[in-house]
Amino acid sequence: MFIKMPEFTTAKSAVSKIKSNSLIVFSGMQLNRSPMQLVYELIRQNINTTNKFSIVGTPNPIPMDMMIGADLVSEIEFCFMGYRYEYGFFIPKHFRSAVEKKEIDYIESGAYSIMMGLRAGAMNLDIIQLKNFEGSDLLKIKNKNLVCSKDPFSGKKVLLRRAVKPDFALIHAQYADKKGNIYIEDELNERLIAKASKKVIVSVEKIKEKINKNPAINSFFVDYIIEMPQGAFPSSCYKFYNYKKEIIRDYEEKSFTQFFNLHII
Amino acid sequence: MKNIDLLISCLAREIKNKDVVFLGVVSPIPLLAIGLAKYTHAPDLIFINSLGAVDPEIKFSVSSETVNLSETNKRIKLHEIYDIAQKGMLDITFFSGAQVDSSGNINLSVIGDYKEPKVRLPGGAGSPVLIRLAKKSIILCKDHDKRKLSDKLFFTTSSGNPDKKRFGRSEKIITGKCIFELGENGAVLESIHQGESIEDIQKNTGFEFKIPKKIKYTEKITEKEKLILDKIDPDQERYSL
Repeated sequence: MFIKMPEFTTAKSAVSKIKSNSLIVFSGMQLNRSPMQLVYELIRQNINTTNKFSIVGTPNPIPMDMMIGADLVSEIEFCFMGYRYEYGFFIPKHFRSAVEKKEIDYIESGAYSIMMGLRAGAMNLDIIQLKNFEGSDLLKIKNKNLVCSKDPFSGKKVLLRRAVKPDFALIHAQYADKKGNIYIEDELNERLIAKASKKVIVSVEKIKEKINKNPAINSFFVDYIIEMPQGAFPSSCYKFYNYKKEIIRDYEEKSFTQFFNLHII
Repeated sequence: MKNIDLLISCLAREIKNKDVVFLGVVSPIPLLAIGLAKYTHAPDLIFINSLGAVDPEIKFSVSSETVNLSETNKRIKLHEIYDIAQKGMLDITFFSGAQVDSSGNINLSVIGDYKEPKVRLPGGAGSPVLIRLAKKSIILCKDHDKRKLSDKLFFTTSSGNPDKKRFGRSEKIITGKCIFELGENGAVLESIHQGESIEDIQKNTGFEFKIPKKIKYTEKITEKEKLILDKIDPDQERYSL
């Protein structure tokens, strides 16, 4: 049996594999350990083209909003687009304005629904049952990923959702070893999103010869690894650095073009 | 905000010893309440934060989910919070919203029409199912005003409706002026904070509520509780929220 091994490469080369219309999921939560430098590379390679991507995520507002700011998003499935830091609470402005001006397709979901979709995707299932979601108006709005059906066993009504199988997962982690196993000091759901996704790109702070721990993501779930210190910056990377509040504020205050020219280009 | 310490102690009193407490994103005030409960009457509570850290050291954080809060060896995966909740193991959680009604429903989605929103809000994160699954949910509404405490929401992102067909419900709304207890017969004024008046509360509340014959005042925060808050938040950053 052939077990694939990840390729150690550059961000430029790995990100170039992401074709237009791909569905992308990102690691991280709020201002923690988002794969910012991979997102910057994706923006550099695609800005001012006609390429568009679909994005899905748990509460991970910055990379998702930057993709919208760069005009690279055709559709977003989200559950929470907001963050609080030293300068207050923000709903990221490109997301807000794109929805208010109807510039993108969007599906508002619950974090539970997205995570269950990813769990189904990780098992290569096509649908999964959602439970105890009743009462929310989220079930009354149009949502191509949800359907109310009949449980064939009990005959009762059940809520089902389509599996989430992203074309690409972009992940930032603390370490990889030389064999391509990924080690995360504060694992959130990275093993899950890696398993759910068809291709997995991981940037790491440091590649070590050998790590005597159980990896968060085994090498056979990973396609590309890039050693990239500060790969989550300006979001935080636990045990390495905190988020950079001045740059997050720049992002809030400046236009996307200004921010791009200052920090991404 | 002047009575932030009182609000924190009101939230803390809702937590019982040995409760399993979950706290979602961007909730610095409930975070301090969990800390206060842990260091007073509920030393054995189990606190799970939104990064999946179990019993992390509780320190003030503007965001309630920062790097230092992850400092623990015990972790669950993000999706496992829903496993815990679906099994009925989650005792209490805290939410807030742009609008809340007297059934404890919350709107975190839009101001205006859903399809043509005047303001697009962040969304409900984990709340649409957690509010139904936690044995009780407490709704925090720091700014007590008519638009927020409303009888008609633009959108029910998360339903706290006490339909009894689930494990729990929204039990209370705690505001900067008073505490409402929510039940099958709607909202009842449980207590008002020192210095507040019923007239003012009526004027600033958008939904109907019952007023009991004997008005209770909310229990004051004690000096001991204040000292503990200063330990969790030594720079007193809570006053700038």
